[in-house]
Amino acid sequence: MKIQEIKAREIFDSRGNPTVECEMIIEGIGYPFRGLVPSGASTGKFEALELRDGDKNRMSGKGVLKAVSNVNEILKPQLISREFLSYEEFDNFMISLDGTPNKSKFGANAILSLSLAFYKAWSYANYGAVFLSQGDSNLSIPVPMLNVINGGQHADNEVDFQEFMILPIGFSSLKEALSATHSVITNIKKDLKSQSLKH
Amino acid sequence: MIAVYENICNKYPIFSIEDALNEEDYEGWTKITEKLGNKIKLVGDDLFVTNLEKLQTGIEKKQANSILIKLNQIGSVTETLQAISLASSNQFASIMSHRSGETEDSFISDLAVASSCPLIKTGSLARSDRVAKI
Repeated sequence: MKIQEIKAREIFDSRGNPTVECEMIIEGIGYPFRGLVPSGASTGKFEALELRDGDKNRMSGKGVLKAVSNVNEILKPQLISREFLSYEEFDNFMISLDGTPNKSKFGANAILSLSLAFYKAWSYANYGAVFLSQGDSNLSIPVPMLNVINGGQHADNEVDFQEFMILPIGFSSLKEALSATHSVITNIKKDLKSQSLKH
Repeated sequence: MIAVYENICNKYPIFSIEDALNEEDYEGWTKITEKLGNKIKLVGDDLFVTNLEKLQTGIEKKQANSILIKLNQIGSVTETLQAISLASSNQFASIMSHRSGETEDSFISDLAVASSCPLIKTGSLARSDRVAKI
């Protein structure tokens, strides 16, 4: 697979913070693949480096223009027109170009945006879809762990535990599992309201 | 702290506890896994940060019995899939997870199915960025 075009840009995540999006066009596929990078609020000490601009005059230093420019100006010229036979080869090439243990040279957000876009393209070309991409024919839908009450770093309340989740286990379909989940959530809301507590 | 968790688990039908202890309390993790590992899923998030080496150490030292999988903790799909594969070959459950700052992309749901993750964390029945992933 050869990459024809790459374009990264700064977008906003669900919290209104800037994050990286990358669009990739592969030779012979007339359809762009996008990689969109999420961002955590409560982060582990040993996570790969999320590169932020640190310019206090622009979006509280949270801009990702450096990461975007690392994709468009530095990585893109190295990746375009090169033949990559697999997503492993593509990722490992970027990891070796970065050369740091925590992706601090280009930023994990820069590298991941490309990795995601390429993986989607590779899956599409080889298996038709991402959910088929590991070649396993015995597929099942994972059980969702649904977060119903937040505390800790995810809330302004005084609850010590960060998340309280419920799991619909033992249902024969996702449809039934989610219907039961809906009932539980509705009742939690009712209970909290009757006790004048906020959901 | 471990005694507090034991108490909670005896009192309520707890399925899993995530990041029960500090990410650098390695001995504590081995201890809690000894005590609660056969009852519930002890999930390493900050403990493993989807990092292959950290997971390998955790498997050897019996820290936790499950791993939270977050693509942006490690920064590439290849390394993420390696972590999932190492986990499943050592009977660790992989839980695919979103982050609190999300986008409209539902890629993680497709990847969870492709890589046979038994569980997925993607918020709740609210907000399109979360619901799109269910």
